[in-house]
Amino acid sequence: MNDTFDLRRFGWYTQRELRENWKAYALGLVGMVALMGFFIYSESSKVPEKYRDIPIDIYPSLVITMGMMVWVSSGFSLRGFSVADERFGTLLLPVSNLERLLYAWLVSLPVPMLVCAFVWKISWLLIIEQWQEEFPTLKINTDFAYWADASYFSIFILTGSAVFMLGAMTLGKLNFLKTMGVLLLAGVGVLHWGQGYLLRALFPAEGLRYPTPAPWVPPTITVRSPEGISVERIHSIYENLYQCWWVICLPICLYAIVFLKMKEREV
Amino acid sequence: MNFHNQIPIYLQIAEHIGEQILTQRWKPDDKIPSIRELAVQLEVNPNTVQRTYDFLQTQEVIFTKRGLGYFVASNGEQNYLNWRKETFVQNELPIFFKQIRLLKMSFEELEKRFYEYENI
Amino acid sequence: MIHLDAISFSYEKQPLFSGLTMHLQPGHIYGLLGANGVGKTTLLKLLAGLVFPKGGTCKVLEQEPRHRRPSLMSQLYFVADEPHLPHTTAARYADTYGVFYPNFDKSLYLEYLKEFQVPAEQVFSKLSFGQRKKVVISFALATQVPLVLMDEPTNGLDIPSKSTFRKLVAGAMTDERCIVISTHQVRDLDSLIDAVLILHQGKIVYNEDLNALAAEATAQPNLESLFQEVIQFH
Repeated sequence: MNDTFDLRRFGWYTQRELRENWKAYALGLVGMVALMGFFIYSESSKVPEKYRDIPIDIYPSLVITMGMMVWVSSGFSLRGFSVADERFGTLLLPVSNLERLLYAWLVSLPVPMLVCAFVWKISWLLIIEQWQEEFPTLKINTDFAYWADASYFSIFILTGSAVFMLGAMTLGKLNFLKTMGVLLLAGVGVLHWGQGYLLRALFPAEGLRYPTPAPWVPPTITVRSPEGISVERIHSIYENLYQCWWVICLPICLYAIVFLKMKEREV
Repeated sequence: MNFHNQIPIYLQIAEHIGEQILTQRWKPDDKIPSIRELAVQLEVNPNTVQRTYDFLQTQEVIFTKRGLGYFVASNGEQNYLNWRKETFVQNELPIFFKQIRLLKMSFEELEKRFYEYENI
Repeated sequence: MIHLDAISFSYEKQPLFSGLTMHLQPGHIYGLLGANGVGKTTLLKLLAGLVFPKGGTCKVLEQEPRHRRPSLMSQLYFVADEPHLPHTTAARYADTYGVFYPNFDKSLYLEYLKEFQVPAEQVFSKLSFGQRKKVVISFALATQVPLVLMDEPTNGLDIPSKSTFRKLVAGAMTDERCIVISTHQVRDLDSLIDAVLILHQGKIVYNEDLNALAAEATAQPNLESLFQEVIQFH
């Protein structure tokens, strides 16, 4: 028997997880459809005559629903570690940590993403058909470019998943809310205020303006000095080589930390 | 079966087996329960029953046929009587005699009581 | 089978074990005795890899439990004092969890449930605490693993069930298996235990085979008075 990974054992583990959590998964699916429905409903307000100039934007519903589902799923996938009652049984089960993490990852990322994409595609296909029948002049935004910015997408989804998994491992009860709280604090608190102070320290200038909110809007620095005005968009930390860090290394680091936490967890 | 602390459990089990033999419930060459069966029946650790069986084998009360189990020896009853009488005389009799003396009972009275007991 | 040498352990700065040494052999049913709070449950958790020793070496079946390798975990089972069971029936529970234990025998499991008079098709939420315990005990014995650790198994069982428990454990015992039962209710397990471990002041101060003891003495040691005696002299 291979102690690190055994396919049969992984299959049994998957079977156990599905049998015990199918209700929660079903609930998640219902939630996803409801969320999608909400987005579609809010887009429907653009359908009437007077709003016809505004194109229907189908992509926010995909990205945001996917993001939410991945986050919730990530927090839930490790509830064997976060729920006190279940820790005993979880740690006594003869499965390897790699198998645990692999299942958690599969049920947090690829599966919700695929299901979400499928639900999104089908829902919009049906709705758009209906709307275009009634209102043939309806404009639909098919430009994915903005949303395809891989770095933000990756941070939102990949890193976000890793963060919620880490939260599940370390924060115990109500870890989803706690992790959200930490993220909001980090996002709003640290990046918003901290960014300002950091930039001020880096660029001693007369004035500094930076848009809110971080982190998905890169800051624009306007430096007024006796020599003139210069405007810089600090985009570089998300580009090229640096992108590799955000897109790949950071989530991998976080997953590695989750794995190590699994190994050292005591009951 | 309720166990007491006067003598080791394995000997109490031996006495239990002896009783089965003396009351003819188990006759010579009868197969007796296996170690595990008796352990389950009496709710006792099998190692303890093992000790009992080993002991009874040395006393030649029972014998074992490899692969077939344990059986009452042909002289089992007599051998058991010999051993049990010995322990009875050494352990229980002194206590009994002490009590008799304390209660100032005579042998005649004892005899009378014994026959009464036999007739019931 | 189990070798603990100079184990030290503490719970949040409270030292629990220091220099604890214990060697256990297969083929025995060990009774782990000790005062309340002395760390009996923690010692069992140590053997199951649920907590890690701060010092010393801990070897169970030649592996260190802290690594929690499936090859070790599939050879031991821990029956907790308050078992947590998922929302399913006893029969389905065996289907889901039995596969992780290579020697699990479902027919044995169902037989044990029958002896305990626990309905196999009833969901756990409808069973009483005692019945749920009986399910876990049945499962533990049916896995046929070499090492079974039980924390107060008779706690919550009615008298007939305690008798059934003794019968089933006596019947499940083999020369290759080792069962460690931590208990307060010594009288329940008096005749079942054939080796006594006493945990006192962070160490195992007593580890004896009762059958060997009985040979030297002329009486059967009463476990309760034995316990008092040993504690007094330390």
